[in-house]
Amino acid sequence: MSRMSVLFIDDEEELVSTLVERLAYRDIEADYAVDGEQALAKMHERSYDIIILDLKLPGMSGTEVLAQIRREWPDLPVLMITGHGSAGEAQAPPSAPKCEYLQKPIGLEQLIKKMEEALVSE
Amino acid sequence: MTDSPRGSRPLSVPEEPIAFFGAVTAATTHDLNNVISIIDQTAGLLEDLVFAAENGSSIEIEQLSRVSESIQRQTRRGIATIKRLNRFAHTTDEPTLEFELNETLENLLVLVQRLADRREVDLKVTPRHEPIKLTASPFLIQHAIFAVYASLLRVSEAGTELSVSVSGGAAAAVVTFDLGSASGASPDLTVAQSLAESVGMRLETESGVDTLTVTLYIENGP
Repeated sequence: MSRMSVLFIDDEEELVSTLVERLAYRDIEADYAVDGEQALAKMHERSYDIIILDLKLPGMSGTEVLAQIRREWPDLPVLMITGHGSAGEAQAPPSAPKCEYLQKPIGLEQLIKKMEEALVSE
Repeated sequence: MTDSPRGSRPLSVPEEPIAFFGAVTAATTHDLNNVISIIDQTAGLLEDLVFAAENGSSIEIEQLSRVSESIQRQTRRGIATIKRLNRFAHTTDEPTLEFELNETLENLLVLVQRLADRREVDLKVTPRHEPIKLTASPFLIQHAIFAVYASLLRVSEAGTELSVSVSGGAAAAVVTFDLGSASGASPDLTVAQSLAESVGMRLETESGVDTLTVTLYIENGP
């Protein structure tokens, strides 16, 4: 089985670069983009098994990036990360299949578990 | 109206003081959440390095130094944010206080800078060189200032520059918002106007070619 590959989309570069480094120790191939435009460009260059997307991004919002992903890669699992303390803002768009919301801060092991669950349910 | 630029969530202009307090707290705690997340993951990375070393890999001094610097940097960031939030919260202590306008304005705009960042609006704050002591409600004045800020962000497009400057003196202070390359849409300043008037401030707007200036005049209290 090939290594799981994941793309983080989050403007907190220090956070995602650390996550990428930690996932490498767990034999998970990870990359990151700091905004929606960069993420979509990377996704056109190569394929990923799963996307971890922060809801709050500069420029294109997380919801807008999600909509674009759904148009181009309808079956790709996406985990949405939010720093919002309640589920109020973290509402999935009505037509957002294969999408789950997680709240920051999230532990790495919990994140990996969620990624594996998303891939299994795929 | 560019209410929700590029698909971001609409920015509301809070009419009620509690909603203003909530907006500032929400923006700030979001930032603190990121700080905690980075420290958490960086500490985790240190554990990973130790585990790898226990299993025969070597640890580079540069790696340890990078981890340490990251934790220190994020701790400083978190402390600075908490201090600013604490300073903001204390502006509600008394209905009327003597306060320094430059410091209060800068503190507020740093706390809510994220709202401009998310819209890719370049926020520039220019305080007056000399301090301006006012006797008034710093909280309500900040509420009116935030209402102008939020109203202008709602019509700002990515790449716009928003300059906020303080001038005037002890008798009357002036806070000026200059929005360059505005979207062409007029901001709805109804809430800001009402809040300004409720604390004895005057709000004026002036439109130029692709620019918009909103000025708040603050008469000093007794």
